[in-house]
Amino acid sequence: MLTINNIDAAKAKMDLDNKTFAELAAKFKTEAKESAERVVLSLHNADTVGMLLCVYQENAKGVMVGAKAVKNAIGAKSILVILPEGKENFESFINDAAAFVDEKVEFVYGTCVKREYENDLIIHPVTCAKIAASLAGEDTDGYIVCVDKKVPFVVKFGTKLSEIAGSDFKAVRIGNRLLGNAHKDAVIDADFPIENGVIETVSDEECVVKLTSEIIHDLRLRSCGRCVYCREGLAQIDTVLNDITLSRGRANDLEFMEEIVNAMHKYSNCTFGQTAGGSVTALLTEFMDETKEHMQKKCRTLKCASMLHYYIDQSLCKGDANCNAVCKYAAINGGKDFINVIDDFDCKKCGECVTACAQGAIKVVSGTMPKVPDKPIPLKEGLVAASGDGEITQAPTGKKPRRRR
Amino acid sequence: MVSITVDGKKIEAKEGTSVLRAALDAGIYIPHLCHHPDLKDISACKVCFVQVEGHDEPETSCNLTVEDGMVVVTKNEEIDKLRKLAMELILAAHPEDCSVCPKYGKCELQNLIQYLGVAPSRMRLRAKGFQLEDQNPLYDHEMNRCVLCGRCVRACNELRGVKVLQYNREGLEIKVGALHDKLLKDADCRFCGACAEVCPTGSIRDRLVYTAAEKQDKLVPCRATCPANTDIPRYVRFVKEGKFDEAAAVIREKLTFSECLGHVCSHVCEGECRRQNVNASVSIRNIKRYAAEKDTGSFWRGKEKRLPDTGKKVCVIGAGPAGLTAAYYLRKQGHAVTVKEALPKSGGMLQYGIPSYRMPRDIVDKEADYMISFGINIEYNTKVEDVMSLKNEFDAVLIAIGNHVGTLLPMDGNDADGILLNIDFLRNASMGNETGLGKKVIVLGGGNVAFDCARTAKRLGAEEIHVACLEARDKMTADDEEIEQAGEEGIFVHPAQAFEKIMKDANGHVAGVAFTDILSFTFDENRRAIIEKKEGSYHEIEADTVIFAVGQRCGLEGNDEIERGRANSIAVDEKAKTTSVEGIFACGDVTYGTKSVVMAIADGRKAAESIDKFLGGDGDISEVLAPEQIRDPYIGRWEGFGYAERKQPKVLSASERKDNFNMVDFGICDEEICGEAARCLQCDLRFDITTSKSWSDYGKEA
Repeated sequence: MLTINNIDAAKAKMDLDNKTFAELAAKFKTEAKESAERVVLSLHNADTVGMLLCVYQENAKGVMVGAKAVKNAIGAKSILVILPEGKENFESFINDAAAFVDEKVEFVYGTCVKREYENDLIIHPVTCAKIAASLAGEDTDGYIVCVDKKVPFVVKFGTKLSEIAGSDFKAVRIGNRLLGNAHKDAVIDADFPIENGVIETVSDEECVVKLTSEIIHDLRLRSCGRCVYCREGLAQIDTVLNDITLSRGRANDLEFMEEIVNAMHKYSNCTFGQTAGGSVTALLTEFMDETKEHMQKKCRTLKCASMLHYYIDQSLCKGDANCNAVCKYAAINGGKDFINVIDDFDCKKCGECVTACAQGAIKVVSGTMPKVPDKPIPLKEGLVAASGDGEITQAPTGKKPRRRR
Repeated sequence: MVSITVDGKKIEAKEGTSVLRAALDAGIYIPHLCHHPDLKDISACKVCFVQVEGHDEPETSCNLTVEDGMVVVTKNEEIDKLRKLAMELILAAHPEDCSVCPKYGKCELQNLIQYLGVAPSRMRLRAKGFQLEDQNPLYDHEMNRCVLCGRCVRACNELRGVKVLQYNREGLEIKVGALHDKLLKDADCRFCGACAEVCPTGSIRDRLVYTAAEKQDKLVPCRATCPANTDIPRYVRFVKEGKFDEAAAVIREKLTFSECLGHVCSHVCEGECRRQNVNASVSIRNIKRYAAEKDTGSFWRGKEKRLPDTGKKVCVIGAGPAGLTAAYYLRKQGHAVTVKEALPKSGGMLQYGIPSYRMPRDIVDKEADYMISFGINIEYNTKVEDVMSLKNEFDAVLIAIGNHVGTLLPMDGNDADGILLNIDFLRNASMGNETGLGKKVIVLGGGNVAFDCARTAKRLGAEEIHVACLEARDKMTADDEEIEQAGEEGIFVHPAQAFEKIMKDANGHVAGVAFTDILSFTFDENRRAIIEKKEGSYHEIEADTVIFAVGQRCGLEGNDEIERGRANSIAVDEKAKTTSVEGIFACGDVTYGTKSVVMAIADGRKAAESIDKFLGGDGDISEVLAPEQIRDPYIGRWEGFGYAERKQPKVLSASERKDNFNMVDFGICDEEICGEAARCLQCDLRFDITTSKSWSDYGKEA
């Protein structure tokens, strides 16, 4: 559907009867109306990326043939195209394609507020392109996808997810949803939740909680703000996830988010709010273990700074105190010829010391902090760890390590 | 009609209506916030959940269409949970300082919180951090309090078609405002108040503070301040639509002498007009004048209320605006009315006070004659000497003699020849009598009457005319246009002057007036004038005529039993217009001092009501003359509305007007009158918007 081989054949068949359109509507999962004022072409509001706009660039004629066919079928009076803000440059080639089918289209910019188009038929441009392809007798079984920001292409139904995204991923983000690795063999067919077609793989090194927090924050900035669950729900989830990544999660936060996400999904007024919580749902199901770890202040990918503990492996420290010199926060106690000690309370987790240490003695953990000396130990007197496994031995100070947190 | 069951109660509903509207109409309350009876529903607040039997999940009832046989439950655990979640979410970003909010006690959100009993305790609370926007006229925007129900946006866009308010993003928050957060005036706001009317919270609100009882008067101040309570917004709207007969009929419902008022009304309404907060008040008097001039009487002429004769007899003393108005309404109530007028014609001050270049006499005669034609027996040149004796002949007597005696200030030289009193001078000029005017004239006084005297003197051929008064220029009571036009005609105005003495020549004739400049002029707590004079500023102005224009009083001598008030006025009961003698009433200037024509007319109406009751009638003189007005709520866009200038009347140039008594002010011309009327903010329009009910109002009637 990115290009139609025989566009003239499609154009020739533009006059559909209602029945045929109803069939096409069922096939392409779009609204079937018997009559409408206008045919309104719009992306889903949930599609904040707009990759699918490529169908206008690659196949504007196909889109317009499909739109005109729909217009004829339901007796609409005109065609209106809603484009995202800043896509004014699309007007020229859409106009050209419209001229091809003897139409003049009207343009509106921004999101599609459904209420304003109550008397119209809202249809996706890709669906129009598919209708045109169908008229030309061409194969319409497939989706336009874009994997990891590469050139968009058409994936045929029956393809496995792993065939286009590989199988070496922790998760894939499709639209606003996150799917875990367990879905790698999922078959892409008409029922596959393809969302906006934008697929991004998430590697094992990435933290899904942090990623979700970023996704939600971005969505919060894009919500039109008209209905409560979407607007205020995103605000709450954004704050809660941010709190969790900052180790400030509260006991009931997961149940709280679940309640909001469910309400958003069921009762938001448009696809934006209905799908906005998708990544959170994944956190609460497929990625529950990782999420729960975060509630225990542990980030297994070491991406959530507040959950990290930097410490100096005594067995590796040679006492050159480079770490001490680069620390901007004076969080490292000791000096030359000492086994230095990082004060976990003062440490701002910037990681500068890690690169400064030639011995690689500075380690990062998340979760339980290993036992480290309470204060710096002079290298000559200190117990140099003989064991090679890096086990930390405490200097005989007789004092208990202070715990401030 | 379809039939549905809500909480076990069977109700009828119009096809296509929503479950929410059907339930509310049937007196069954479903909690809601963004729903407003006059606006389209958008399912934004997520509070109005219900459960339909057979459906999987609860649904919002505002966008759920009724179906025959539908069985609906408005309360269950799941609904409660969803509703509370929505409310908690809303409250998470709403300030908790209800007690300092101007909407406290009238807030729909507060009301709903009480009903649902929710608090956002498990929410992450936040402050939106918007500043109070108070740079707009009339309305304050405190968007921190906004719950984004979208009612104002819908009212502005769909109900009014003004399309100013919209949702804007500001950082993490959404804020309702004009495009690019412009000031309302710059965004072509029509200041109709629909936004403030539908706002459930204190976010968009009137800057004026009022109680429910005061609301109409405070928000439609023109109608409230008009002494006769003329329905100004209504006739202004008719004029805007080009329906002048209809407009005139509206005016006739409350006023007599409507065309005269179009020329000389003191127009207190314009002083209160809310449009002046936007730029300049609507030229209401000129609109009225235009309607009255164009009126053919098709709606009111011959359709006035006329009750059968009662056999009761009333005598009205004085055929001025107050007396003649009272006589007119009393006659229509069926009483036999005799008017005794001391002067040869009717109209009072309209006929003998206000100069004819301001108040053409043919209009006065026309309007007075129309009233008299209802069968009023009028006796001219009949000065009543003995009020009490009239009681024998009539069932009721009304004293409406006005204030026709000028005041002479007690000062040195006030006995000189060539001293004239305002009222006498103007009356003589009106009647074409010899006035005794010389060539060099000094008028003492700073009100409209002083300028009437000065400008009349000009027209009678005086060569040099001065107006001097105690008040500073900005405190003078005369209309600005009077002072300006006098200046244009070559009249010298001297504000802030203390009158020292009147100088006399050897023959005892006026030779001039001595003045001292005044630095400050105030009143102490006993209302006594305190004057601070400028040292060494004594100066004299030569003149052969001095006209006192420093007020007037009634000429009633004290040979009757009627109780007096201030300055020999007649003491009356404020409402009933009764005097201390039963059967004798009084109204107009004679009871309260010199005021305005419109007040006299309003007072005349009150007196007529009271006398009618006294004579056994119901006291109801009200009339419905104008057709019902269809107020179009969709006022639409008007680019630059807030900047539309007040139309100026056409006025003769000084050279054209200064030597004759031709009419000076021609009012607003044909092409501009509808435009001027369209400048009206239509403050009355918002009262057509349905008032939202509280949950406590439901179920009472059931």
